[in-house]
Amino acid sequence: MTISIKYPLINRADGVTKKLPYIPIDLKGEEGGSWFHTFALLDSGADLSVIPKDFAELLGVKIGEEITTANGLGGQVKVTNSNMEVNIKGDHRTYTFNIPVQVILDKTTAPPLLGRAGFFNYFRIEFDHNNERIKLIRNNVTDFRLNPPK
Amino acid sequence: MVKESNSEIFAKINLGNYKGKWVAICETDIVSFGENAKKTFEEAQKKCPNKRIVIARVPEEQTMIY
Repeated sequence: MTISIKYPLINRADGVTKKLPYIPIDLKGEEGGSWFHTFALLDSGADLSVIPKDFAELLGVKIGEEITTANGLGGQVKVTNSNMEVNIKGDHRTYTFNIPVQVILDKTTAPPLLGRAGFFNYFRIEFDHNNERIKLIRNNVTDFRLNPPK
Repeated sequence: MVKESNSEIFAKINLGNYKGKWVAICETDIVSFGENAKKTFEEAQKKCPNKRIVIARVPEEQTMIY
């Protein structure tokens, strides 16, 4: 019931190696046909997951017409609310579920980011920064689509 | 189960020259990169047909979170 993921160590140009809580994950939009393999940054401080517009277009995430704003350390950006499908593999299963996501319409270099709404409902998450591990402990929720089923 | 393979790819490649850019990784190599995710992925598909491609954005030195 636990998925353990090692932090990627990012080698920067200045020679510094940085530990970042990225997780390997597959994503697709509700209108998309294929899964895309990527890394997303886990952010317990974010209310919602966010992805840049160009990434949303790749995934087939519906970009709505109703524009709102989101605020954060990066300042204020224009966003639109949508949903996306998440697929995460671990403990011999694949966990598939749907989460809300905000699509950033402004130019940004932000990576795909997994915030609390949705993703954090499905797992209890432990950040073991010293040991460079993230643990996703499955919550007792009923709307997972598991493969193989359990 | 410990899942490491994709993370190990990320760790092995020197990403320092790709800050803020999308990179497409096929097997253990970056096969395309750029500022647009869709274009980067499509370029990778041409170079690496029918293979598993990982597309990821390399974080800036100070990643700003929304």
